[in-house]
Amino acid sequence: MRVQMEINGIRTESNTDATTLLSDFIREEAGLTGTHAGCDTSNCGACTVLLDGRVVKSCTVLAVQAAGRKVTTIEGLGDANDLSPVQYAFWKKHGLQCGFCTPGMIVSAYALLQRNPDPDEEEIRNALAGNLCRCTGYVKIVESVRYAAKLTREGKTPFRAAARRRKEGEIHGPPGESL
Amino acid sequence: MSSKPQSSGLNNLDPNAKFNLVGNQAVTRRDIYAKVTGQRKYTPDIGPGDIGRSTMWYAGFLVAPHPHARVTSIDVSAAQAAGYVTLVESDLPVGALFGIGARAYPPLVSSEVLYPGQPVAAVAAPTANEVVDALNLIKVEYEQLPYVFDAQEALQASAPQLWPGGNVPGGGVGENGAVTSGTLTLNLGDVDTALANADVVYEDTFGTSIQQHFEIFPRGAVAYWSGGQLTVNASTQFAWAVQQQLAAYFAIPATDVRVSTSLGGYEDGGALGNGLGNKSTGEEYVLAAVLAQKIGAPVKFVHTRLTHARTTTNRWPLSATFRLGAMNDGTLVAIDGIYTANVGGRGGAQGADAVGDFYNAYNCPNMRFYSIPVTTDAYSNGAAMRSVGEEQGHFLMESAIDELAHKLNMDPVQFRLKNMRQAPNPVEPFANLPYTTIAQPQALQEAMQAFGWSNLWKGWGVPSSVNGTKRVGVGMCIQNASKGSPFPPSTSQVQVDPDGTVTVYIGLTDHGAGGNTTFPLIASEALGLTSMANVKLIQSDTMYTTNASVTAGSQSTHNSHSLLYAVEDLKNQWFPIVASKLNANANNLAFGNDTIYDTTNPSNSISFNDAAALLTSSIKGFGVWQIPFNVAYRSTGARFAQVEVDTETAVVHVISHTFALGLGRTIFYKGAIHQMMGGSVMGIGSAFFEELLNDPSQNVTVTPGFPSSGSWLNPNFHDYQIPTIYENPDSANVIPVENIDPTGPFGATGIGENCIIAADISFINALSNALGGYRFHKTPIRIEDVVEAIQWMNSNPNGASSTSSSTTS
Ligand code: FES
Ligand code: FES
Repeated sequence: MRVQMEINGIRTESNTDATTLLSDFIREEAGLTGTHAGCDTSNCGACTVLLDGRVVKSCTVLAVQAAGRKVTTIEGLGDANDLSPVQYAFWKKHGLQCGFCTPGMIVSAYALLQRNPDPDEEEIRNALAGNLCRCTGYVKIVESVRYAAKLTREGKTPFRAAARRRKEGEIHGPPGESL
Repeated sequence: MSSKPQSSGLNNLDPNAKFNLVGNQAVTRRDIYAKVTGQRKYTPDIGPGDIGRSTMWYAGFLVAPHPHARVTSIDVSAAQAAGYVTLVESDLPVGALFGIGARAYPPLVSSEVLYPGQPVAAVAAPTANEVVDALNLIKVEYEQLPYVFDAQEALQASAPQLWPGGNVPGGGVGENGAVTSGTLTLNLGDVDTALANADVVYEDTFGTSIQQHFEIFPRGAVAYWSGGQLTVNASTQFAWAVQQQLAAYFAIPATDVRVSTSLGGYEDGGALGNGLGNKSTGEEYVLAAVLAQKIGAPVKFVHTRLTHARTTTNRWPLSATFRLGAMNDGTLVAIDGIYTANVGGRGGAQGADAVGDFYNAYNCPNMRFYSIPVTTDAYSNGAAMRSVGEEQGHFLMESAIDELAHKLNMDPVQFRLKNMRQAPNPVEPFANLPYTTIAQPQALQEAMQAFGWSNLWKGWGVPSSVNGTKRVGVGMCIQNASKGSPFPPSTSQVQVDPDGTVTVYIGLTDHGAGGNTTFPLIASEALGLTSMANVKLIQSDTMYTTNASVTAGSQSTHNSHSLLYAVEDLKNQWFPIVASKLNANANNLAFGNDTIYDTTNPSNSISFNDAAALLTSSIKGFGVWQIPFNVAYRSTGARFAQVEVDTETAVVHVISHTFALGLGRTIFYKGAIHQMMGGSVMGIGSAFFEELLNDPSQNVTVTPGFPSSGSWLNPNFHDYQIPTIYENPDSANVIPVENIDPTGPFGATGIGENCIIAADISFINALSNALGGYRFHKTPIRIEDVVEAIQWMNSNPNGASSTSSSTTS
């Protein structure tokens, strides 16, 4: 069946099965592989996206249920040149290791800061409780979200991507404050 | 030390040396931008366009739900009629076995199923969605056979025979019950006499459970053929082994097999997700290649959570019965340990590694160890999971040692300080090998101070605080683990282009640990660079790089030592050219601060880029590094933990954790520190929740829609719980100890596995302290075990003092 939705502001239309999951639609039809899949029981959160601005695990939504709606994935959080404060904070504070859980973590944290720019630690944990990470022990993830909240409150956004032009691995990392 | 460390001339081992990049806290992961923006491609993200193709097929396994069964028939006709491509064992090349460890095996069951989750058939479909449909069309009939899950039961003569002659891989049990081989026996001094003369003898048994990596990204591969040449993009920590096994399987030269981690090439060679020891070799690499050959199109295989949990590898359950002897002054005089490793349906002869913890960690003149691996139907394959047995071995060892200190009523820190192996001159006692380095007693002392042990420790079984139903206890442990073994030489290359670009080629990958920053960092430091901005990395791709062994065993930093030799080789090609420009002697030239300069007249220098511009074409240095064979290569540290337990709810919470680990020298600072934190939290899962479960009922009628008796119970994130963001401790304090290892690059030892080893027992010893000194015997410590401990404590109000009456001889 014909399914159409807006993904990261771009109209995406495709013939798809009624049983296709939104996560598969995003990955296979829209070709946006930043939305990951780590389980088949809706536990890991690696597939987290925003559906009309609200956090969903895209493996729990059928593509047809998202028809006509707006989807935001990790690729849509910053634009091509800018990083969102959350992405910047995960970079700056090293909120990741293997990085597989990272898109889901960042999307969940982004949604939290949209509705509450000044979350306390418990609120951060509650917002990310559906996102599993096997590498980091969450220590730096919590720190990244706290830092992102601070940047958001201070209105420090967006992060022009001098960030992008600066090569990865450069000693000074992203621009902004000195490390 | 008996072996003189080799030197590349560039290996600065001065403990006070100042570096540009080594240990620099500002250095950020090189792949972090790609990861925060979702650009990084992991194996499942590879589409046909990424490999220059227009189509791709998708594959999956059908796995046996039974622990032990005979396959009586497989009917794939319906799947084939629907247009899917199927594989069963008889479709595979005759005699082509695949596997590591003691047991090579066909990648699909030939007749007998040995564990729940063994692959019986594979299918490929033109879309990912159809894989499940295709699998559902395959009909397999089984004759169920009696099975055995427990290692001790499997050793009985009446047990189902999974391994000929006694279920001991590599050996068997003789008529008198004595195990003939496949076992390990070590003997030092006179254990029986020492135990007879000891003031205190403590005897107990401890055990662990089957655990699984449950990395968020399951294993997978994309395979495709171009003529007779095979390419496999695999999520593997060991591209070299996969290449060799594929070449052997298809009987083609290894040069016709290209294996790369993920897509390979510039900075994408390390995108395999976490590895934790699970991503080594696997049947999907072979089966995807066979299917791709059959179909004539690329085939992508990604494990489902079920097949990942039950078909790939697991951490084997290990148990040990100890008799420890000590004198009243706290001197450890005898260790007698009998270890049993349940290695699963096709595990190798494992178990020896964990024994090594004990004889290395404690200095004791009389030690005897006996270790036996046992084949069971409980799970697939006992193998590495963030250490090869040491994680389990440390729980066993540090439970027993802690309890011995308890019996002696001696401060557990003082007991370790008195008995642990430490500087000066530590030696591995059985083979008499000198350690390359040791962080003890420094690690223990630093961690103890940072934690504030002397204020928090109130005695055995006496919590540091009690507030209503909440009791807080403290505990500690040490660690001393093997760091891999001397594999074949590790090699790498470093190239400089005339425009000043540096390219590092190394066959090691990055499973999140930070290798893709560590490797270029080491090369850049050796080249005297102050930034890695112009340094590219090509890693873990058998086409572009050379063998550097496996990215595992906490040894990849150590193995990247070859980079210093590659830079040395580069110097020999480059410096004569630079010398003529500078009117200097090439032997006097050195790299430093983005220049090449004359050491006899430092102002006579040329910038790195100008020196590169003297080249007419790229030059490449080749480096070889062989870990010395005649030394003990150990990682050592200490942990302290503070744990709260609510005696009303039995809920346990880790309040704080202090962890000091000898890193030799910290190379990539953030990577190292963050791994230490992550591994420690992973240990919370190991301590309190993680256990892969089977239905223990034999021969009951199968409920329609459910797997049979004896099958898996929790192969998913819902029922197998790993630590969530709620579990991480309120404070995680990690302390890198710099104990220069002369065999490592810039003195580094490596890190990886050591981040989790012994984490669980530090929490458990603290929980024991909170609960009157109750001793837990088996991980994971589930809530019912905590309830039992609380009940014991309530009925033994003087718990600690009542159990401190030791068995005296
Ligand atoms: S893929 Fe795991 S929650 Fe969606
Ligand atoms: S960074 Fe690896 S799973 Fe979170």
